Amino acid sequence: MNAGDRDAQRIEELLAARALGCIEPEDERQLEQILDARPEIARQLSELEETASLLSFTLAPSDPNPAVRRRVLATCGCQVEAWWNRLANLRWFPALATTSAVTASVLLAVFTTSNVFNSEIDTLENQVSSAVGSWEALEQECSALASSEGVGILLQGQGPAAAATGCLVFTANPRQGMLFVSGLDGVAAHGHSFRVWLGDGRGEGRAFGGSCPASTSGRAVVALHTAAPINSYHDLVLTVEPAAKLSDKPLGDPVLWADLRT
Amino acid sequence: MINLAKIASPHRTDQSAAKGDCHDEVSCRKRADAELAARILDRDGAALAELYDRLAGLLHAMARQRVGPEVADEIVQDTFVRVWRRIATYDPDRGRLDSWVLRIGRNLTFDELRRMRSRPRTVPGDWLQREAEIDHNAIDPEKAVIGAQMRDRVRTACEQLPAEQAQVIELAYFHGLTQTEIAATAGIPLGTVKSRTRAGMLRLRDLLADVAGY
Repeated sequence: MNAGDRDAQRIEELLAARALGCIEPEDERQLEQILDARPEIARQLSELEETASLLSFTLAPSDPNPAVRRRVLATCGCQVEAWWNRLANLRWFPALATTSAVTASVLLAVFTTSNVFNSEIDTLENQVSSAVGSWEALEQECSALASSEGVGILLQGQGPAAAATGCLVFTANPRQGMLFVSGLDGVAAHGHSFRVWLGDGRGEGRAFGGSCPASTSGRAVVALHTAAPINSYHDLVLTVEPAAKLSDKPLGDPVLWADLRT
Repeated sequence: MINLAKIASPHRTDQSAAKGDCHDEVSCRKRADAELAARILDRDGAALAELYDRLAGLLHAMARQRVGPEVADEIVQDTFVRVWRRIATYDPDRGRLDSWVLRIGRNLTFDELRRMRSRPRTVPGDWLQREAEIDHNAIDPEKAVIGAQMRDRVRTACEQLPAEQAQVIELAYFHGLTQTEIAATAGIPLGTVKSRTRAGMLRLRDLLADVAGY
């Protein structure tokens, strides 16, 4: 065996150990150096990691406690039980309740529904209209809320969506918010999604905040769930992305922008 | 041959086939994975529930072996909450959605094991035998068929490994031992552990290439 073969074999040993999660710390450091110097090795690592993951399929499934499923879906905002917890925690609810409790309830329903069923915005509009008269009335309420200091932020479209307006309403949970946008007509084709990204102002990329399917109505409702408190971010943008194209960074140009420091 | 597209997304197979715009099993699987992940990214609770129903049993089985049923419940929950929050980082071109989720669950399991600072005291070499003894009657029939196809395929590949290679892979993947710990447990030199790990994993990679799609 020549030096090249030994080198290749040594790398394969490191990759196999890493894929199985049994690599020793010193070997791990060596592998990191190799991966930095030879990015093409990452492909081999991906293949072996995929192979290792398939080992799990040799196990016969065992059922978790049924409550786990309910907790998962509730934690992720996917079940009706979570609605009322949110209602009690919404920071702006007391102020809104003095003016329009019905609207507050509908806002909550919209917030939750966008999580639960991923309904088309048209369906949401029907629900809103039946409760508060019109989507416009709801939008006005949200804009009024967003105009109040510490409750929300108004947004303005740009580029192809210059006519768009929106509002971001904060909740008691600093990592959650609700974004309403209208005037996005013609901005996104069927099969696309609106996605929200938050920047830290240091030019180090943007964090994913939330997403909703594009609607022919030109409206978007996005429930934001962020890793850090929303007000710790510098700004927020809305992009249009192909629905089936996943990415941890924005692919499209921003069509809506908001400065979160104001 | 097993139907990878069906395994990847059993509820969408007919739709995908009807569209006829994926060329082979791997591309169908990638598209089904991308579609399901995109729905989760769009905060579609039904999509998360679909993924949960497909994988929770496997995750639970994997975790239960190491940390017991109660903690396994917590790991299943934490895994899917993490999936919900990090789905934007999933890349269909780098592997199956199922594998990505299972990897998260496995990492959480062994993080928990490290916290518990205890190691399981199971006998090496009983991995495939022990799993064959588990009662399958409680599993949903449709899921059971799909899971059984995949299980048989991977188990057949594993059974083709020499016993000494299967042993080090089991101790690493299912018991969470480092290579030094494997050497001590199996009573063999560390260099032998490394060479067996490499040989076994390369062999498995080749045997499962059509399943993984790389």
